Amino acid sequence: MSSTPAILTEGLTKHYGDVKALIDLDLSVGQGEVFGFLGPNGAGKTTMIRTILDLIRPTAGTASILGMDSHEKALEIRDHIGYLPGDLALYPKLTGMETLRYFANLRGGVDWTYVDELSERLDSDLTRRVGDLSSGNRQKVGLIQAFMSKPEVLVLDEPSTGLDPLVQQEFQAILRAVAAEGRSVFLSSHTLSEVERVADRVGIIRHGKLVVVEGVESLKSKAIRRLELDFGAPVSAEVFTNIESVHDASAEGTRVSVAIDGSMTSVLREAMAHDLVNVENAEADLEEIFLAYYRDTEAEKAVG
Amino acid sequence: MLANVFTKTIRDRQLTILIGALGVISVAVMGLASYANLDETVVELYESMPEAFLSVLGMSEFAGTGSLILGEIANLMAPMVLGGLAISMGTAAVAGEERKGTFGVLLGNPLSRQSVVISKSFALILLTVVGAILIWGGSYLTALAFDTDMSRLNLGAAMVHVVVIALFFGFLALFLGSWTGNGTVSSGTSTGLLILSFLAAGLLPLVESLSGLAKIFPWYYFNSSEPLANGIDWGHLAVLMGAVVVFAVGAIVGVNRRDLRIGEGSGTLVQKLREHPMTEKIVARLGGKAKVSSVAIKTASESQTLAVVAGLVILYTALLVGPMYNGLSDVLSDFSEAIPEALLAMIGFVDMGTPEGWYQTEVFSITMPGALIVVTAMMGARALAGEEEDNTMDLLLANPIKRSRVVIEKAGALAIIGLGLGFATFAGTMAGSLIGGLDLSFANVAVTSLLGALLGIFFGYVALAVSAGTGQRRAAIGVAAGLAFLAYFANAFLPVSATLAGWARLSPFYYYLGNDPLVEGLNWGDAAVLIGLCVVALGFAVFLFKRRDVRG
Repeated sequence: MSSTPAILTEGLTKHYGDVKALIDLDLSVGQGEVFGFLGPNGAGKTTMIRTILDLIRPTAGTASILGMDSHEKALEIRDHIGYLPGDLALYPKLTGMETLRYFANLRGGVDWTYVDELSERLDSDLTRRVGDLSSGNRQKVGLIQAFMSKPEVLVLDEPSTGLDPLVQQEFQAILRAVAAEGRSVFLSSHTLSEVERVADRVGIIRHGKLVVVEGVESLKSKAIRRLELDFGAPVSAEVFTNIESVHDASAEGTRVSVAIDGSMTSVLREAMAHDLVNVENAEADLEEIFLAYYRDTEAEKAVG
Repeated sequence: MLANVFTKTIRDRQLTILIGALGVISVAVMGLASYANLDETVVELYESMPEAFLSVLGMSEFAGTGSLILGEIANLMAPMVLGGLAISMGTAAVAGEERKGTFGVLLGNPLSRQSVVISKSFALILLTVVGAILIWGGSYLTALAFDTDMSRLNLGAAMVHVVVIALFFGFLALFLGSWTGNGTVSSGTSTGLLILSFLAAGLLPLVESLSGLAKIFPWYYFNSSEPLANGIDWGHLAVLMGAVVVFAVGAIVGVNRRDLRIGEGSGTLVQKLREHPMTEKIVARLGGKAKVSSVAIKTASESQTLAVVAGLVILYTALLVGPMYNGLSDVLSDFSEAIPEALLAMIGFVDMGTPEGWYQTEVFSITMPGALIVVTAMMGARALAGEEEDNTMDLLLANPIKRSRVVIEKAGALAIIGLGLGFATFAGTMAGSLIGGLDLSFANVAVTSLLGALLGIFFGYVALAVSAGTGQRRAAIGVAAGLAFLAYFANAFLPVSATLAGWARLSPFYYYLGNDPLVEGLNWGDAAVLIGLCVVALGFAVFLFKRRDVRG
């Protein structure tokens, strides 16, 4: 891993009139790293990405990619990046192949065998006009164009949008291969589950501020997970509230919803004692992760 | 303003109507200012004008100094502008919502299709009426300010007729859009009929055996009764209003019985032709294969269909005008002799009795720059703002290509298309001249075509600069077209008044035909000014685009 960060921002700030879309963002993404950039809708993810790509200009602060200033060296930077915009739009009248040829021409050529490989892995039809494609199939064309020049830094804004689970898995495999070659990936998303399978570290942005940057594992361990337990007969929530790792529990009919902050073993053991019919693991809620994070830092302050 | 469909439609369109009305009023100001000091001359000229000419203007009897200008406002400008805006609103009402993909969301609310069409219809009516009142008020005040004699003019009645003809075309567009869901069909057909019926109703009565035919065109019911002179003709209005009601009812029936489209996939007319087995090959050839080797080539290739169509229109007109001259030359020289020289200059016409004058009137003064500016303004607007509005600009700029190069390559494509259309004008005119045996100067035709191309490129670069500064396609087309419109009339009207004549030099049109290049040949100064204007506009475009946040 080279010492120059793939992406570095210092005090990056963007205001739209009175709206503060980005506030004093300091972030460093290393080379060869897959970085997940997580935040709810409207938190500032896309603004941050468009700022480091010089599509919009910061109100204050600086950003650099591979050590090059995002504004001064915008042109050089683009030789080294691949970008997939969120809410992808392409030229509806061009076929997938024509679209790729256009961007390849603007880059001065790409390795077409790699394009074929990507197209095959993502099961993409490049002969049809983009306007006639479903949004998932259009997304594949967008992904291929981002990957095809084998860029050193990939900036992907909500890349999994519209992809079916099988294609998502293939996409994640491609991402891991990219990282294994020492290239960097900056990946934005609004769900933890999307980034936790591929990212090394995760940054969470909220209301334009970077709240936390942590390793995926430690973040997951802090997260409150929610289990939905279905029983054959109604079970009282109080059965679970006394367990240490349970944050809170509520019952409705035969279903009990349990929020867990730590090990699941004792919860499941208690559940097995009743007539357990089904277990669902609900998506960890970003807000809950924030709360968990805040709670921990507050607790640390109290101890310290 | 977002209380319901009606108020939202008003909110979306009020600015457009205001700008359209101000444009017409500014023509009234320029015209009346230029004519203000010419009272007696105008009376003399008017009396010597042939009747046929006056009938085209919708003023067969002299009714005071202001009648020429106000006649032009009430019989040409106002109906064209309000009619055009009504068509745009009628098209947007159903077909536009479908193309944007917003009709589904709208109808996800507890609204029937019918209630949406009715709300939008009332908004269309209200906005058209407001536009007409603004034009009426503005022209009236202007006339007062210049002491124009209005005693025999019935401007209010004329504006009532304007409202009704505009509604006719607006509801026609609504009707077509409701049945087809296709904006291109709806606005194209309505606009085509607007122009055709204007020309037919003006020209058919000149030929006695064909005069009855004019009655099949809506324009006949708009101004054959000369409302500006004679007041409202209730019978004629009833015919047009009847048609409006039929279109409105038809629109409701049409939108209710059809599967609604969503988004772009459903496509334009060209797309349909492209997919139809009978027309597939022709359209493919016309549009060419998508070319993607560079930004410039891709941009040019995208506008190929539009440019080829515009080129054929110009070529065809220029070709036909030559042989027509021979058939008409007797009439034309009579016509030209009947109208005093001063009047010809006054209305921007040259001597139609000469081949050069004939070609200038028929091809170079309006048809060529008009067709050219339509193409270049659309290209200029689409070049940057179009990509931003379609959300493809982010992706384009993520490639190793400078913003300034994107602007310059797109400007290059625009220039190639502009020069291509200039060449079509040149080729058509030379062929027409050859067939008609008119002996036009090869060099002068080439020079005039080139100046015309430069003029078109300039207005395209104006659209490009606005597009670069705002990222809004509609603003870019609006500013470029509005500016071209004002520049045209400034150059046509201002020279009439000796005191105001110098101001015509502010208009780019002056550097195109101002020094009579068809007769006099190349004036290097004019060419230099036009090229300079292009460079300045392009410079602005690059400057504005480099420093701005890209819309996403």
